[in-house]
Amino acid sequence: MQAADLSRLRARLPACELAAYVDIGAGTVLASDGALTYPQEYLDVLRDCAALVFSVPNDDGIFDHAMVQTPTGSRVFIRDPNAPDLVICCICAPWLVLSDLLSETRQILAELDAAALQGSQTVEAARG
Amino acid sequence: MTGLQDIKSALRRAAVDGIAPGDVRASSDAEKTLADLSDMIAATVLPRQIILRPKTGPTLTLSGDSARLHHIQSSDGTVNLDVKDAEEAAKLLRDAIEQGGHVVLRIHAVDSHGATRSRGIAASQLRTALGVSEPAEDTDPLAQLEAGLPSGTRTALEITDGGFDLLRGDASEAAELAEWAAPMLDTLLAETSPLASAMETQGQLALGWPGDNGRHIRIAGRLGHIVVASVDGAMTAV
Repeated sequence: MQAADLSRLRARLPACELAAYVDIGAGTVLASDGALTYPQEYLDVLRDCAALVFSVPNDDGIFDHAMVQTPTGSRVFIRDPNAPDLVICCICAPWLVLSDLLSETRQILAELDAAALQGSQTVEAARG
Repeated sequence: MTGLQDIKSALRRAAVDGIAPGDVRASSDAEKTLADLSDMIAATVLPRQIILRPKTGPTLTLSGDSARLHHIQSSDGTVNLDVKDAEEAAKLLRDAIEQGGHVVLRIHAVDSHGATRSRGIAASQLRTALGVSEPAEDTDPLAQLEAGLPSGTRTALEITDGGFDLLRGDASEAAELAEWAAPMLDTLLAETSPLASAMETQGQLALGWPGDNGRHIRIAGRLGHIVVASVDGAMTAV
């Protein structure tokens, strides 16, 4: 997931003001794309929020998405199903349709998985 | 039930921190922007900077705390005003917002206003000068939280100093939910938590399991009250 992928995600979601891809295990921000340029400290806080909301396990299994909502907007956190430490974080306007965000994010992740699989098959074929 | 006795006091501490830094309001409706701006200033306790970024025209930086507006500065250097007169400040803000088209308001935390701090004007004076009506009185915060519970709510409880009060559903399920919520709330409302202030008055955290149609959990805070609910059905924005 790179900034260009996050930009593609935001292009499909007008309510999304900032998207970031973070590793809550390593405590790093891997990529971001926003309507404005955000300082690193802001992205670090967003990463801390992601780590915080997913910090408490549950007997019914780990949470894979979370939303912090205030009257002025929402922060949405979606785990990569193939790597739960990797989280897409979005800051969105109050008129966000959450189901759209979830489906578009999962679509982008699926596209990236498919591209990665195709890439690895091409490498294997070249070696063979 | 570890830490439950601290949760209410933690939420109250968070509640005095004003609007969460980083919050954004954007609108092309000048009257709404003026009302939002008045609300933001009225909610300040600690020092805050409110950035008013119009689509056209210079950005204004407003310094406020303790529900007072102290200083206005423009990005092009044409305005550097220690606010003393509500009418003067109101005219400046109204002109910037009405001529600015789509306006974005963003609030930031600052250590102090330093040399820019003047006595300023009260948010109520600014509201009057702007012709913005006073916000409606809040009703009972717990009643508001209960009213905001989704229709699929299976179990809901209010966290209290000694444990919890059952609001809806089965007592044994509520006890399990409260036991799970205790460490979550300790983390969420800790001094160092970046979400403590977001949960201050009207913040909600929803946590969902894989799959869009399963159960989810909601934690909602409002003015010292906190409600935890287990909800059947997909998580939605409220």
